[in-house]
Amino acid sequence: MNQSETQTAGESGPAEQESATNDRDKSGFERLGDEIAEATGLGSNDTGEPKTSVVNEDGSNSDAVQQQANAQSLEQKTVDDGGLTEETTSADTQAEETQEDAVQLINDLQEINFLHIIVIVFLAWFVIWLARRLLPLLAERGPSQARLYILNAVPIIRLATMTVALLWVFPIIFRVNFENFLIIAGGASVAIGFAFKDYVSSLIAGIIAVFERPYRPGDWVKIGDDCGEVRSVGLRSLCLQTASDDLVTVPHTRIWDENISNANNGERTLMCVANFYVHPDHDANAIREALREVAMTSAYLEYGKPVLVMLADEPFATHYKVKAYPFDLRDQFAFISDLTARGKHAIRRAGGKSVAAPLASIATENAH
Amino acid sequence: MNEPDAQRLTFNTLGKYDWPTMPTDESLKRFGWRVWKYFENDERDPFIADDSLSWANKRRLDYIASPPACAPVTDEMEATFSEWVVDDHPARWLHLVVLPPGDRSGVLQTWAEEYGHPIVEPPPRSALLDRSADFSVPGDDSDSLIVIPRLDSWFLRHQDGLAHVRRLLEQLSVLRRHCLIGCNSWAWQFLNKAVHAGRLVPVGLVPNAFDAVRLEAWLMELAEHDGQSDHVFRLSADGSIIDFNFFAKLSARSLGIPWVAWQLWRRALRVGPGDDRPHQQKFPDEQTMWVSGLDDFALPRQSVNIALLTLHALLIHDSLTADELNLVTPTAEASNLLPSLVEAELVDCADGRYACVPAAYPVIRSALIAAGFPKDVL
Repeated sequence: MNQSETQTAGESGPAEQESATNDRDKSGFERLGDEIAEATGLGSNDTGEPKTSVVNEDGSNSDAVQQQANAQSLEQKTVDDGGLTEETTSADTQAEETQEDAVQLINDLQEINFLHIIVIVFLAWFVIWLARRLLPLLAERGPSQARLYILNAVPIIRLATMTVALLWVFPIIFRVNFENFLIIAGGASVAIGFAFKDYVSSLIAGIIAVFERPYRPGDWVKIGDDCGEVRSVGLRSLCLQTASDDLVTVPHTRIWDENISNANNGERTLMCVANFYVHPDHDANAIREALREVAMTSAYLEYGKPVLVMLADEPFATHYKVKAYPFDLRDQFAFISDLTARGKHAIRRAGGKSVAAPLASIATENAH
Repeated sequence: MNEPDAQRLTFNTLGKYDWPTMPTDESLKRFGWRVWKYFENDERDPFIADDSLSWANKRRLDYIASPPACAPVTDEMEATFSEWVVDDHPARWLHLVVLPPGDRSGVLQTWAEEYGHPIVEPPPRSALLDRSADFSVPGDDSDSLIVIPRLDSWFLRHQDGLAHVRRLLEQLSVLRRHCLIGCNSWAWQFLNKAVHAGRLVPVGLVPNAFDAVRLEAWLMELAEHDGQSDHVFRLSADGSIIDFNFFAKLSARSLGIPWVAWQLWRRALRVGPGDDRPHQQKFPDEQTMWVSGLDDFALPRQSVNIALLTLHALLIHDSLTADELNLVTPTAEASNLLPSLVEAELVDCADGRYACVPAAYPVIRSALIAAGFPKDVL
């Protein structure tokens, strides 16, 4: 069979009619047939013009005969390849479609519902704003027992709201599939690695802080040199209100490499310690009992917690520690002041004498 | 109305007090009413405006709700202790009665006087700061019951003020003689912590709460003379005669404490504008006594923390002078705040001694608990 002859398809043959159909409407099997036909020289030429037909001497159309033979041959080949060919075809098609999808990261602008996104972002912002405004107000005005629970809900609500909003908006903007995920993740990794490393580290630390709870709003914590009550926990940082009423913003990244000392860990109270230094020459039992009664009669005392009076001899004095709990941690300084003022009086009444360390040190040096 | 004899009530053990609850619809109404009042200035016209009513004078109040406000409780006491008092070999020589605060009429004292039991009076508070002073109680030389009606008057919450109450309890715990101690619930909770009083005396007994039925029976009985009441009690809000629902609210508002309910009841009674001129009366065929809405008390808006410390100290000690108050609170501002507390009707003063107003006790208790103060147990 002549190659040129095989390339001339019959004008009204079945193969030509099929080639006229749109590729998109063809099944995988049909498209495969086209490809094979193209490879074997069947079908229309590149220009789309009908190929020249050759009439044989016996009057039969040689192209038609050839085409029929080719069609039979193709049919036979297809049957020989069996299911494998069909699977290959299907996989190829899927790959093509995926490739198309992957190339298009973002949905068409016409497909993105911007109003929808604005509503979601506004709702998320409103919920977070409401939680940040309303809950601290409720915590301050409501029962003291519920204060810390209410305050603790703020960062959790914020994180949950932002997560929901993000998961909601993401598929509206992006075409979500595995390839796109890889592309976005790769791009984000580069961006984070170069530009937002510290910020993202703080965000991740903030998320971990919400779940691990090394500190919660209302807790009294010490992070490095910063010590105070946690006023708010944001995604990037937390705010501490110190005893001197300063507001300190501490990034969450501090949790990676610093110890966090939490005095109350979500409870309403915390241990307070009042220190007394008494000249060693005294009746320790009398002073111990007097200091215990000082703690027991404090107006700030939490009844449900123990009161301890501990003493130890230091080189210059006997060191007494009164350990007790106020019923509200916000009273801790008033409580310690109350214990200290009345404790000094009680020590004097019990025959003790308070000493100051510098003077005692001098006295000790002179004695030596 | 008489209390049914078949159900002669006796005291419960401490911690078993049945706190009355506000009816659900009333709770919702109160919440809705507050919300409504917050947003809406217009109020529905009452049947008769409270402004047009006037307070009933003391003589009339005493006629309708006569003092003391403890008769049903003394009956309960008698039912609880009558057999124990005459028992020569009782299982326990000592009993503790824990009462809600605000008992102005003195339940234990009234009961002891009524049945002729000797009473051990507390020493003056000024003497309690002297640790060396000796305030011994009578010994085992008699088999009669001794009554210490107010243990809360035997101490000051001060480092020098606990020695006497500790010594007293130690003496009483080994006494082989009938002895009855009365203490208010806030003071007992403090003494339990400060001197471990609960280890020295057996578990306390508490009176039963006054529910709506009991309250209605008691208050209506007080209003009766010669077996019938001269007055008809109508609500100023809608003109209806008071019913069970009113007493259910009163019971919940008073926490089931009779002297609190009694005082709230007296404060709610009003005289109509035309009651002295029969032709102007709304109900000419009856002697109407108007019952206005139950009083709402509010804490001062400023210095709330100090106000609460002051009220807590007053509850623990039952009553204090201004100087004593300064001794038991961490700030001298406490006594400076007393006039504003008196003005807010949370505290009243008699003979220089300040005490919480019984009618305001439920509000004070709620505020203290909300602020995290250690609360009492009944």
